[in-house]
This record gives sequence, C-alpha cells and structure tokens, in this order.
Amino acid sequence: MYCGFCEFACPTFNALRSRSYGPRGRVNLIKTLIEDGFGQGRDVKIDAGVINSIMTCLHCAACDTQCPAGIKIADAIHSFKAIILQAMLK
Amino acid sequence: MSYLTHSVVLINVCRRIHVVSLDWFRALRDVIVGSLRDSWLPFPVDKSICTKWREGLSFDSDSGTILYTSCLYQLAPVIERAVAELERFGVTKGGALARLTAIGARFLGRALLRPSDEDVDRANRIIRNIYGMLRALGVRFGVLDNEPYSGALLYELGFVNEFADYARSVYKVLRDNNVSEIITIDPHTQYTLEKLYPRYVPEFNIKVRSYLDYLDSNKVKVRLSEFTIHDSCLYARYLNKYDLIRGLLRGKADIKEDPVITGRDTSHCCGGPIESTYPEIAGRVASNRVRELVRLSRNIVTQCPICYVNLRRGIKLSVVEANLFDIAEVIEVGGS
Repeated sequence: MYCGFCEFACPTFNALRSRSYGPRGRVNLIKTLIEDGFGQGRDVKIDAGVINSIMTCLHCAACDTQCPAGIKIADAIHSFKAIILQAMLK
Repeated sequence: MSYLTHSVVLINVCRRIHVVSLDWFRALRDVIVGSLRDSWLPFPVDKSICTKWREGLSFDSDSGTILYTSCLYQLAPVIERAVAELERFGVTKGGALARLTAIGARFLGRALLRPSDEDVDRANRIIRNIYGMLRALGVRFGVLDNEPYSGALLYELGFVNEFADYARSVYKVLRDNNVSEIITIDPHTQYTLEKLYPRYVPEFNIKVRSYLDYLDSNKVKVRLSEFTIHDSCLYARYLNKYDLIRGLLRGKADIKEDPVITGRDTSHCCGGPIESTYPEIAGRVASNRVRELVRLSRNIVTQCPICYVNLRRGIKLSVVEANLFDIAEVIEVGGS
C-alpha cells in the first residue's frame, strides 16, 4: 500500500501530478475514512477535495497490474465511490 | 497531521483543479434515472437515432440471438456535446446552476443533446459495417424493436443500487423477447452484460459475446496501411480482448506499437469514465493520451465510441494532428 508502483500507470496522477489523484493517495484516503467510520453510521465530514480525489478514478485498472500485493485497487475505489454516493446523496 | 488532513491540504493547494460538488452527481443521477424510466435511454434524445442504422437491412426475427448496440455508438457524440455544454456553463462545479441545467437538459434535451448529422451518419456506418461482417460470416441474428440501453453509465458513475434496479428491468425485456444470446459491439456494453449483470441479476443466463469474437482473422482484411492502437481499458484489462484484437490486425498493416504506450497493462485510459463529471480532468487525460499515441503514428484506431469522442476532444485540446478511426471502420470481411 505504500510502495507507489501504481502511480506511474495512473492517467489522472500523470495528468495532475498530485498524489491525491493517484491510486496510492486514493487508497490511503479510503483507508482513513473507513477507520474514521465513514459509511458506517458515524458522522464523518469529508472535504470536497477528498470527494474529487476518489470520484476522479477512471477504474481503468492500470494500477492493478502494477501492485506487488495484488490489491484490486480499481474495484476498491469504485466500491467506495458507491458508498460515498449512497451516504451523501440520501 | 493525519494522512487525510495532509491529503486535503495537498488537494486544496492544487488550485488548478475545479472542485465538483456532489450536487452535480445528484443532478446527473436524476437525469439518467428519469430518462431511462421514460425512454430506456440515459439522456433525453430523439430515440430514432438508435435505430436508423437498420433501414433497408434484413434480420432473422426467429433467431434467439440479437445484435445489441445499446445505442452507445449513437449516443457517444451526444455525451460529447453535453460535456461541451457542461463545461461552457460551468455546471460541474455544482450548486443551483447544476440543478437548473439538469432540469433544462431533461425538458429541453431534444434541442440541447442532439448529435450532428455527420456523427449520426458515422455511427450508422460503423454499425452497418459490423452487421455486414457478421452477415458475411453467416451469423444469424435479430434486433429488439425497442432496444434498451445497458445501464453502464449508472454503474460507472457509482450509482450501483440504481444500476441493479435498472439491470433487472432490462433483463425482463430480454427474457420477454426470448433472447438467448447477445452480440455486443462496444466494450462498455460487453463488460456490463458479461460481468455485471450476472452479479446484480442472479437469474441472468444469457450468453454474451462481442462481435470481435465472431470474426475469423483469416477472412478479415485491413483497409488502413499504418496506424497505432488505442486499447479500451475494458477490452484489454477486464475482458481479455487484447490479443484477439491484435490477432485480427497483425501482419495486415504496419501497426506501430510500444511496450508501454500500447501495452496491455500500461496503456493509458482516454479519460472517458469521468467525462460527464470532471470534463476538465478528462480533457487533460485525453490530451496526454493523444500526445503519447502520436509519437507512434498519426493514425489512431480505437475500439470504443467513448474512447473515440474523448480522444477527438484530446486532439482538439492538445492541438496535434491525428486521424481517428474505429476498428470497424478499418476492417472488413471479404465480401462484406
């Protein structure tokens, strides 16, 4: 989760040159949000910048092919997109 | 400082990126869900654009196999035009304007979201060429009178529950029409029906194949002498079509490839999946992709209508010279 091999393959990371717009940044944001209880009934405020970071994932799966740990990064981010929308567009 | 706070700071200092409000996602969801309910299409458009390609062609109405366009080739230029409008009005930044524009798109959609005649003609030519290739190979198929859209966009945006509800209603249409096999013509529809429908509609038992699976490489001719390939992420990394596509093309043209730029694992996306929510970022991704591809060739062959319209936008934004083609525009089956 910390090696960052996934970043070179990510089109949004390459376009914006911001770690928040790459797979590693997104996965770590999601991890933190889950640990804070987002989507689990707890009132967790999230900044529009965090939403943008996660919602701009293209689900292209180029990151998946680079991950030494075999994490299904694209699917994990897509699932969390759905959680964000479900939690915040009630 | 927690990682989350640190990342937010990083994001906020990146001032060039427009912040998108979830208001826009809500508005977009309401437009798509409402339009699907009213017309089985994700946007309010003239439905005749979906079936115009059929004029003068014959079909096997008794066949359980259907050629299923999901209207995506026809709708892709509509989405492109909508994105241009969205950017012009700045609606993706959210707020009241987003809501107003969504309402406007709903009621004025026929005027706002109309593809050009040139784009409609091109989509029809592509589908008719696919029809011709399948016919030349002896494949028998019918079409649905009132073909529903697959729902791919709902899933891709993250509206999973809405997608699941809609997928069930599409499956009912397919079942009521005794469909036993579906031939798709684009990667989004293939992925949605092959991978997602079985997950969200447990009773879904229809065989789903791409038209590319039917093509016999020994009978396929390539009309373009030199080009590079922009792969659909879905075909290359989710649907295992990377080698199939090269098998159809290799040895018949001078194909300019690079292990990274056109590699199965590393080829970059066109930006399409976020074109309706983050058009500015999608444009940057498309521009980068075009600049990579023209290092290999000025002729770029795509396999997906969404890739086509995004790369077309990328060409305009990056101000490079390039010619875009769909694979169905550059291949033919002898006699088709």
